[in-house]
Amino acid sequence: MSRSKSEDGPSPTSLTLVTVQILTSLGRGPMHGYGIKLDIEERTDGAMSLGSGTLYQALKRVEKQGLVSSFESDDEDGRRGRHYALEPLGQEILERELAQMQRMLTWTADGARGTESPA
Amino acid sequence: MNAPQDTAPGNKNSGPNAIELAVFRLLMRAYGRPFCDRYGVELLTFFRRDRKRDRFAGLLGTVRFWRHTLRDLAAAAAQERRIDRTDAWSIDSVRQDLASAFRQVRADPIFSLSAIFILAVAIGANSAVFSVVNGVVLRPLPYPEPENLVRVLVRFMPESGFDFEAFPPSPAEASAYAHDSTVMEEVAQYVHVDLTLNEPGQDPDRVQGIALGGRALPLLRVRPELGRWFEPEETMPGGPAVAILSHAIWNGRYDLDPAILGRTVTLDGTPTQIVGVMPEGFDFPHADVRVYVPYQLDHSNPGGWSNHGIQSVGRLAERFTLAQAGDELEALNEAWRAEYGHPQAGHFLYLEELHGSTVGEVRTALWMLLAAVGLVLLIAAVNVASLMLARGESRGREVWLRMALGARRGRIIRQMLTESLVLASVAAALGLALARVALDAILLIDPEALPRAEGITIDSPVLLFTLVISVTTVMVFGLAPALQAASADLSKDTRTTETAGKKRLRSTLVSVEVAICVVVVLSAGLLGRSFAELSRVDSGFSADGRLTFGMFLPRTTYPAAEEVRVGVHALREQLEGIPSVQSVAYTSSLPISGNGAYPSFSIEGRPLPGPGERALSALTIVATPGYLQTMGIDVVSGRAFELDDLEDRPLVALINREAATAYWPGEDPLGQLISFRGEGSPWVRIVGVIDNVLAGGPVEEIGPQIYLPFAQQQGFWNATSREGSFVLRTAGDPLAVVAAARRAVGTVDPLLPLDNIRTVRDIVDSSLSQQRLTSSLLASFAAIALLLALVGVYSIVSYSVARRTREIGIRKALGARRGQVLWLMVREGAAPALAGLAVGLGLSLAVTSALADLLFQVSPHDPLTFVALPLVLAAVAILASWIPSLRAMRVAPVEALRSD
Repeated sequence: MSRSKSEDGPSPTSLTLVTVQILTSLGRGPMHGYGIKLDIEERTDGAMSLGSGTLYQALKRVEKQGLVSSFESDDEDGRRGRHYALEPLGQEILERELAQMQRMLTWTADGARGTESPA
Repeated sequence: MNAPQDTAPGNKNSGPNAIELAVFRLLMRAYGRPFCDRYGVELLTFFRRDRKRDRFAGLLGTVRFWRHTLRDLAAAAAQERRIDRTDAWSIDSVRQDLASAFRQVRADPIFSLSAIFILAVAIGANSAVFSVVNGVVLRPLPYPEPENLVRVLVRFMPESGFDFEAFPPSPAEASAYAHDSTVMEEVAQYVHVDLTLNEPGQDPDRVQGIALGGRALPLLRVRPELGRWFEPEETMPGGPAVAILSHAIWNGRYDLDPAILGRTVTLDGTPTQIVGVMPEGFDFPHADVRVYVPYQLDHSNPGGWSNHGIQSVGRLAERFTLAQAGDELEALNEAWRAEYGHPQAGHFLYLEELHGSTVGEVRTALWMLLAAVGLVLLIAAVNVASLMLARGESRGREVWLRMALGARRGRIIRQMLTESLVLASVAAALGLALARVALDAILLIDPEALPRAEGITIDSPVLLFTLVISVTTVMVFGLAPALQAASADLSKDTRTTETAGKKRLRSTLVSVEVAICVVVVLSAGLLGRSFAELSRVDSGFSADGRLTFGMFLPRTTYPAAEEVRVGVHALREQLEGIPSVQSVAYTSSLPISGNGAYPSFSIEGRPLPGPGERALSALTIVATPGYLQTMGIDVVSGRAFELDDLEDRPLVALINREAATAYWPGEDPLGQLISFRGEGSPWVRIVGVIDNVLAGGPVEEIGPQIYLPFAQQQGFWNATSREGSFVLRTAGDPLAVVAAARRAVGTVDPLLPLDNIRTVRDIVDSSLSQQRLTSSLLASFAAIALLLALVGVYSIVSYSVARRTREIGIRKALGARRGQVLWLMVREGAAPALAGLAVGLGLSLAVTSALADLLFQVSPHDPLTFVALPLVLAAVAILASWIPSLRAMRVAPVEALRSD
């Protein structure tokens, strides 16, 4: 991963929530499109249920950004179809994004305590 | 590959059916081609799998599934097409735009009502004028393939001894053309005949009729609605007397009674059988014709070539053009001249499209009116644009906020255009209602002003026209303010800043309005001057307090000249007995009627004009003694007719001043002898010269005229005119004696109808009807244009004053003088107005040349009009700037400084 390439990629904060979820799902291994949808639904307890248009539009974007690649393969039922996998750049971005979220959560929790303590 | 299970065991949901799949395939197109090519298979797989899920089973599930799918599809497709979701042309966003537009329209009722009113007036005027243009000019003639129909006319060149632009051909010429032409499918002849209709138990009626040649209806390709067309033997001299009725008289007089066929009525004293009825809408050659009779002509012996007086129409064979027919006719003219010699010298036949010939000269005037009213619409549009701009600036904050919140420019523009569209739609609806009223008013100004007026109505072409101009107007008045609004600079709060660009745009709009207004006002001014000139034309007679009606003495009751003379004398005596009637006269041809014969004559002691020399001819009118006095015509020298200018007395004649100068220049015509029938015929002595009397309309020049005593007419041309008009000079209202006149005529002969009863004033007025209509309409358009332009000037200054209150306060506080501040404000309106005035003057110089044909004794660049009107306009523009500027003077410096 060259430095210049990572600069060409999106900065972590520009990722949409949908993108983060897709990258997270693919972090568990390659999946087909509908598999990603079900994975996200499971992880979010059904709070995020992606429609096909939204999903493939997001996939199109991350593929173009070089975060994800696709290939033809058989799925678990033996049906042939396109699968998506995380690229190293996608892996790096995802990790940065998650770290950023982690910091944000910590900061929010500190802030909440900070406001409570004087009381 | 650890995707969770997407279907639960025991799933009753078997997935999408064929219809659902087809629908989704269709909807997928919304993503556009590239996306479908890349993801189409996956989208369908996704769709199938998703549809199979338990949660989407059953009716409710189906609903939920589709709601979910559609929402996703709409959002993603919009995004995919790089259009903001709210910017899509979805029903939702259009509804949103409409709702917002209606809100805006209601929120500012004064603005909305002014805009709607301005547009409605302009659109209404346009629709009304277009209805007229459509009904009169554009509407095709009501016959199949009307474009192939032509009129055959004769032009007399000065070397013929006459000078007539368009004269009817002779039956011999028309017959020769019908026989010799190869490009004409048919040529037919017709002639106007007024007929007295008598039926037992009904009042006698004088109706307009047409004697139609045998080939006329096949030529027009119209079949009678009832009955049949004339048989060949009926169109030969001495054939059976038959008639075909128009639909109008069948409806009006006979209540559409089919038993009319075969009935016998009396026409001009001759028992005549009705053999047919023409269909509704058949209006050849015009809508006032009530009866068609056969034109009885022996084509093998059509009479002399010089006996001009019939009308002729032709139908071009399909494969030929008018130009080809014209070329052929030119060659035929040559051939006839060679064959027939002198009678064909100095004149030739030519063709004119029947449509153009029917519509006549009014066409130019109507197109001019349509152009003028179009300019009024343009001014209205610019005016509303200006109003919207002013409002757009007060709405600047709203737009600024929406754009700051992420609305795209395209969306803002669309929103503004929707508002314009709403305004224009309301205005169009109102405008159509106004057009209806305006149309009635136009037709009321003078029903005789327009040919084919019966076809003027608000029909589908008019509705389409209204739609088109309304949408165009939206584009004109809505786009500039919309673009202006959308160009809001987010870095500035538009509430307090006005860019130079905006100010320039507003000033430009005012200039444009004023410039167009100048064109309309100057055109109206020229036409008004022309109308005034026409009204001032000396008619040579007095029109007020005179009643006239036509009279025809049929051959059956009045077989010879003597009976006619006695009849007219008896009628005159009876009419003179009416108490309020001061004098009565009978004439073969009333002034302005355009009727009359133009016989050639010779002067004693002068050789007859040779070939190519101008013949001596004059409009020759027969009148009873007392005609000059009854009509108020002045005798210039010599005497008027006297009661003893009888048959057995020396033949006398009067001439008008024009005849005196044309034929006896530098000589005294009194006592000179003239003769009408060549060698051996009696000489007629000129005993008086009278004033020039208008023979046709005021536009036509007054030519030489000769008046002959009614009692002597048999003597100089061995013919008696059975048809003429009585003129009654009355003490009070001329129309008050109509009933008495009817009774008086009835005592002489109960079968004689009074035809075409009118006052002489009415005849004079209708001779100007077309010009009156044109100039009064143009004057009203000019008034609207002027008013709108003034509103434009006024509002730009008011707006500026309101906007610059603070500046005015500062200037005053710093010691600016009253006059300086006032001038500052007046300049805001006056400067663009004067610029517009200058541009408008330049435009007018170019445009008014097109009016030349419509003007009478006024130059299209009439200096008076071109100097006086702009001065008035400039003064008015300055006044319109002055009034709102005065408000600036009332501003107290301290208050002004506080103002925002």
